[in-house]
Amino acid sequence: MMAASIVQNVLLKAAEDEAEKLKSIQVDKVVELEYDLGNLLAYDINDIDVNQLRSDKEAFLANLSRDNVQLLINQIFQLPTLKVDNEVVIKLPAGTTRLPRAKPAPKEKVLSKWEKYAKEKGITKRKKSKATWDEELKKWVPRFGYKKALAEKEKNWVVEVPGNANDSMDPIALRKTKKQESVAKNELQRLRNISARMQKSKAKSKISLEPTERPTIDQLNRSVFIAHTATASVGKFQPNLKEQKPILKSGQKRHFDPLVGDLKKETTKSLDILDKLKNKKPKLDIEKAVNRELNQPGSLDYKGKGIEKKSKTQLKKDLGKRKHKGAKDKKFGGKKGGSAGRGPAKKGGKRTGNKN
Amino acid sequence: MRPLTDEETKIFFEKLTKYIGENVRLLIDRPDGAYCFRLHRDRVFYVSEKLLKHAVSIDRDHLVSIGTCFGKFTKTRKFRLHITALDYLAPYAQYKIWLKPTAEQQFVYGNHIMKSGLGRISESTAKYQGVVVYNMADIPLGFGVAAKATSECRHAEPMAIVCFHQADVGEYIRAEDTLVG
Repeated sequence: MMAASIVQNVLLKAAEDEAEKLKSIQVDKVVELEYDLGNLLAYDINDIDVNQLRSDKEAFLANLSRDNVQLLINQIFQLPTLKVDNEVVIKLPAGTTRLPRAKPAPKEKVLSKWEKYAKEKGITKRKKSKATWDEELKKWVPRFGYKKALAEKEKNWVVEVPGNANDSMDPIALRKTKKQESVAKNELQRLRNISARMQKSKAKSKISLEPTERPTIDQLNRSVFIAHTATASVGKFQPNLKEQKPILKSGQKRHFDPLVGDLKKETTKSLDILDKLKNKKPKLDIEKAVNRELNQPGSLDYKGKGIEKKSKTQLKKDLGKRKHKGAKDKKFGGKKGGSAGRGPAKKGGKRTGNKN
Repeated sequence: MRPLTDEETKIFFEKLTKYIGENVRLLIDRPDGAYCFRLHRDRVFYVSEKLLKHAVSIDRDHLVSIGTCFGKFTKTRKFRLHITALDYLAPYAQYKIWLKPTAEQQFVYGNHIMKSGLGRISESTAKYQGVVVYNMADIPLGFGVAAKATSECRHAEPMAIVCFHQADVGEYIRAEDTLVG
């Protein structure tokens, strides 16, 4: 007896725990939700318990969304079910919420000149039969093609000459030129239509190198690049022309160094560039050297006599022997500035006079 | 804002070395912290690493200036120094010109320097050498390019131009709206 009640109690407790774990599919809401089952959408317009939201935001939101999803699922399971390949399937109704389209609305098709005209005049296209009945020949003659031409030839074996015509008139030649003219006119119109269509579509080719009247620098660069790479090796072994600037790689995005990268690396890179610049400079700037030589006090007379005495090669020779005596500032005129000017000459940061 | 490309760095350093020669090295490799050059809207800015990291959070539309503007790249990709770079050019300048007090105003108004206004000039200044211009009290006023070598200056007439004006401190007022930094 006792054992039976204990077992019952245990079972009851287990059932309660189970019920606690699985929350009810019944959810009470003050205001019914609005559903759009086609889009699997439910609007909850009930008030939110602000206090609860503030005290425990995450739990509250999770709970709320669970309840609402439960309601949505309930609604879905009320729909009729189908069985496809032993799977239960529900066919959703069409959505009621109007969603904005992802892509812009397509542009209206531009009418061709004829289409526009036909629309204005109310002309509709009629299907023409392939052949027509010829009363004269008593047979069906196609509208175009060699059989039509043959029929024409057969029909017009003789041409009437109008009574007022002069002797030199050749009606057969006249008819021939007339025909040629109309063919030419048709051809012209056909080509015109093609070009109009081309302009309208503005379909750009992949390389986008349409001929232009005055190409820009970019376009020129692009064409040079394409010409350069239009070899079997894609331009890899294509030597540059003499004095040709490096070809700008077209259609490739430039990649810059990171804004805040390794500054130490950047510093060394800059120093390298600086070194290269230094090395590029000529070892001896003759003009500068001559100037310095002229400025050496006592070495030459400034009045111009001394310059004639020493040849340039002699000057250069002298330069090799002489060591630079440090930068000095030459003073000009200005009786006043005399004493004031002394000081600053010694200041002024690091001055390396022997630049050469 | 981005670092300068190798090509840009070359052009920029070429211009800087005209004024301060090898001392460019001292600007890049500083013992008191990492400094770098950054390009923003064609302008080159001299920025400390610390400041750069702060500036990263500002988007390019709203970033007007950081650090010190050294100058700008022209549309033909030449570099032009601005007067704002004077603070860094003056202490390292290799070739200098000192102006007589009477010529100071003329220069600061944007005129070239004439022989009559020349107080002193660094010895062995070559023709077309970049020079920093000082007044007699040794205050840097701007910079320019020597139109004549030191030796030529001696024989020049008083009205001959000895230095072409490039930038002067007067621009802080004259070009207030276009100067950056």
